[in-house]
Amino acid sequence: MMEKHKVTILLPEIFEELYKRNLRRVFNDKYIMKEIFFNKLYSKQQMIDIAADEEALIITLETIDRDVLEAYSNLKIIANYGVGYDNVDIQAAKEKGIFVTNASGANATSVAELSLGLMLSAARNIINVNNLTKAGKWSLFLGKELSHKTLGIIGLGKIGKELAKKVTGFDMKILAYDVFRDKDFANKWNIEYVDIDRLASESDFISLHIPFSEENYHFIDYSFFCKMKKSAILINTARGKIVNENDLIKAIKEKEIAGAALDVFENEPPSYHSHLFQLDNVVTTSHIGGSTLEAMIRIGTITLKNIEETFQGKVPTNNVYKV
Amino acid sequence: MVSSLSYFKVSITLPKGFVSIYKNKIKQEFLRRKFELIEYFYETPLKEHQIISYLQDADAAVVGGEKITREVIEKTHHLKIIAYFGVGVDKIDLKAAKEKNIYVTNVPNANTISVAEFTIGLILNCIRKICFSHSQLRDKNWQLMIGSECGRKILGIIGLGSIGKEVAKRASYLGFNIRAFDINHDYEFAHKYGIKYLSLDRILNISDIITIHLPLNSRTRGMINKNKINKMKSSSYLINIS
Repeated sequence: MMEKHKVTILLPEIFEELYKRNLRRVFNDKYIMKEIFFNKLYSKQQMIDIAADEEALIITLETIDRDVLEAYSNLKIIANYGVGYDNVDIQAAKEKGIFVTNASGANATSVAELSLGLMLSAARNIINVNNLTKAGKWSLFLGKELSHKTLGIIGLGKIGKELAKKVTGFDMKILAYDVFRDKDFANKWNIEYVDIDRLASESDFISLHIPFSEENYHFIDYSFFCKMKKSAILINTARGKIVNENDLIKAIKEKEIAGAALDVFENEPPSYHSHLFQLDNVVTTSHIGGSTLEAMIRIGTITLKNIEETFQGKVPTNNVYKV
Repeated sequence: MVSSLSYFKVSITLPKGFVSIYKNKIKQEFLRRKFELIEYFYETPLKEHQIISYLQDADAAVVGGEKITREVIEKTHHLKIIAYFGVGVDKIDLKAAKEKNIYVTNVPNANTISVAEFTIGLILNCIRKICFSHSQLRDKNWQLMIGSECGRKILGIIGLGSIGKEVAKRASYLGFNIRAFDINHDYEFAHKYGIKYLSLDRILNISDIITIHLPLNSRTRGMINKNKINKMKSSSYLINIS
């Protein structure tokens, strides 16, 4: 009988019920599982402390750098239970022959839907009106329609494309900025690829859908905000470090833009002293873009496949670097 | 004819929130026609005795959320038209106005898109817990929450009129399966968006989200009561923006 491979999985405790019901059985059938459901994301030190002889490590946003990788004696794959992998030192993993996989595309629908929800929440001030009404203060708020306004999508990858499709019913004009141009898709969905300055100056709503890398650190900064319309709203469900948060606060206070909706922050959890949390026209959510029942199960299935392919001696389909 | 219109008195009583729109877009139009304007912008809708004083000598009245009762209407001397600044005229005694030959007008489609968009905003807030997450963060509590995707969920639209249809259009691109209840059936529209017309009870039983887009009248008042709500799925949401 083949010995089962050892796999360790770390997930936020809120997903324990979902994992128990939908995924535990199939993972336990195949592997010897170690499950860690945390209420706070493990630090780099904690990741080193728990290291043993597992061959697969399933993570979300934990920092996996060279030091962490050194602590694991038998690792063959780091399977990201999600899509973004900026928290993993890919170069170090590659040097050690450890695969790094993700579930690319699995949460595109969820993230796109949250982006739209954030856009509407910001445009119509739903959060504040909800709170005021519950507090007994019946108040009127004049918001803005999406209809016939311009949506600027920065990054027309899997998630950006889902967003473009989902706003079809809203009669918006769509501009996109991307280093790669999918002409077929753009033609089919009536999207115009433009340069970044045009997108900044013409959009009423701008939504970020690019992965984070050192190249785009603080890509969205004060000069970008100054190019935006004063009535425009920024939505970020991508990665916090793409936006300079201090510049965002300054831009909003100086009325360079009308508001923002953020699902991600430069540090997570964010510093609550940040003025971001005092601004009325900033909607803030706790990185819930991919956090739906459907996406989490889809990701689980793909993660299982990534690990299985590794143990079969193959290069997993979703390996994030070229072997 | 023109000189007699120059003393056409228009009373404008609207919520404070509309001041800038009125001043920027509407006032000039009124002044150009040499209307005499009496304006009042309120925090809370005017009471009966207050509204009487505005409407008593007016030829035309632009009103917002005030209750225009029979008592108010009967005390007016020259009123020819009550122009409601919106869509739903359920606060105006239409019978009393008709008896006194006073027109009551509304603006049927002016806010259709806005209402439809807001409906989707509320739906997404519910199924993704946006308000809740925001509140938790303001309480310094970083808390993950699990929501659900729109795809293949059943959206039950009660009232497939102008607004209901705009909601349906947007919801269909979000992947919702749409069921509708309406006394009128627009089969062409329904076919285009894959909508099935069902009875009210059947919709209540199967929907993941119910949204109401009906006018308030004697037939619809109290329609969604305890009995009806009990028929809904325990995991479902009720949206009322009508």
